[in-house]
Amino acid sequence: MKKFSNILFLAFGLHLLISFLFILSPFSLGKTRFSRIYLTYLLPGPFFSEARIVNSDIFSVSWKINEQWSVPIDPGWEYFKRYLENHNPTDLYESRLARTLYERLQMHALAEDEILKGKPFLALRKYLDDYYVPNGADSIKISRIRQKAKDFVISMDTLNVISFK
Amino acid sequence: MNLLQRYRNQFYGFLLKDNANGLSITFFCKSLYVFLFLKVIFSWPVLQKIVHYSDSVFWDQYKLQAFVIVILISLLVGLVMRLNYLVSTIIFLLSFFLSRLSKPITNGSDLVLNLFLFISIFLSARPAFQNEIQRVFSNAAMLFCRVQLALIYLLSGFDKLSSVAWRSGDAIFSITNLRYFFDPLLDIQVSKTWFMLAGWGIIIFELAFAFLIWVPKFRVPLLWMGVVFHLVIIFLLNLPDFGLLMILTYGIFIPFREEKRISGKMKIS
Repeated sequence: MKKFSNILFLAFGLHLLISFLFILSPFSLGKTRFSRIYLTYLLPGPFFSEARIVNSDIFSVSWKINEQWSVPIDPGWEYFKRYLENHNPTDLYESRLARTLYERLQMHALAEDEILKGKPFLALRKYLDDYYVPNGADSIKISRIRQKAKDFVISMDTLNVISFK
Repeated sequence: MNLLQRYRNQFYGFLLKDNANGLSITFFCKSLYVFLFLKVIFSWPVLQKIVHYSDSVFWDQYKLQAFVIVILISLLVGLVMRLNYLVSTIIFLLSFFLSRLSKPITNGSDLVLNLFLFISIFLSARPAFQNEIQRVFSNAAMLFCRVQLALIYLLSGFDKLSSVAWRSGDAIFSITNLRYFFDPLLDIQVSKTWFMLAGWGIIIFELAFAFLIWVPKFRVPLLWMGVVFHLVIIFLLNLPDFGLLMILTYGIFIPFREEKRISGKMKIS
């Protein structure tokens, strides 16, 4: 039993040592698979880190019907507002799903033709057709606006717009 | 006696002591099961959409319904039965697969949940111990849960301490303007000083939690502060899953009175 306890003591010590290393410098052991697994599954966080709270990407969709563009809507925001009204967690999950479908387009990284050829676009298109875009729409436009809240100032910037039929 | 020797003896003492945390372990594990049960219920309609819009060749709506029903039944079994290794393992595996499936809607709470569900496999409530190994495993898992919770706070606290935005309070300003999280109807108009005080308050709380939670006289005040902190996250940041889960994990630090009595007895003997 003493031997087993010794092994556990060593394992705890080693875990604490590795964890402290990762806490002090997340990439102190390199960007290896070991680091990734350790940081994801054993040491989740940090939560609300600076990089995640400064920018909010706002996605919206509008469509053209009878030569007129509709008012842009943001499905993720609509569901979030619904959650604030009724506090049903399902609406929060719906909001996260809508945002993820947009984020997967990787509008920040890919060219428009690459986006339109990708599987994430097909999924989003299907989602929008199912719930938002009416039959007979001529064109659809998706835009990404970045809201930045930094240095006690809020700024907005339109980053990408893609249109398709 | 050197410091390492002293820590090792304390560690052995903790591992070998009669399980004084039976109620605490049961409360902790079953509260995680209730949390997961509610999460599955509320996310069920969205899971159907995730499968519908995914390009997975494995998942379809029939498999999803079967999977969800199996999770719910396993959780009900886990809630009704005494804690045991088999059910705990099944629940952890199902939760892990659920997180993989529901990736588009997951957040930090899912990682924390899976971590604690995994450790809880090795916890077992008294008087179920068949041998000393089981007791040592259970006590080690209990200690590991506590260490992990402290490390989560330490990681977050240290990250914030290293951030200029958190130290200046700018991060609090950013959070109050974070779309999809903060209620837009809440207009917080306070001076930069208040934002800075709030930022430092959070940094100090998180770092203090990591170290002072081990000191019995600070434990209860820290846990109450933590409950308030996470209630703010639930209601102001609209993260009910994350906030609630963190509050539930505090179960591994209660009850105190029983532990104190046992440790007192050990000292006398």
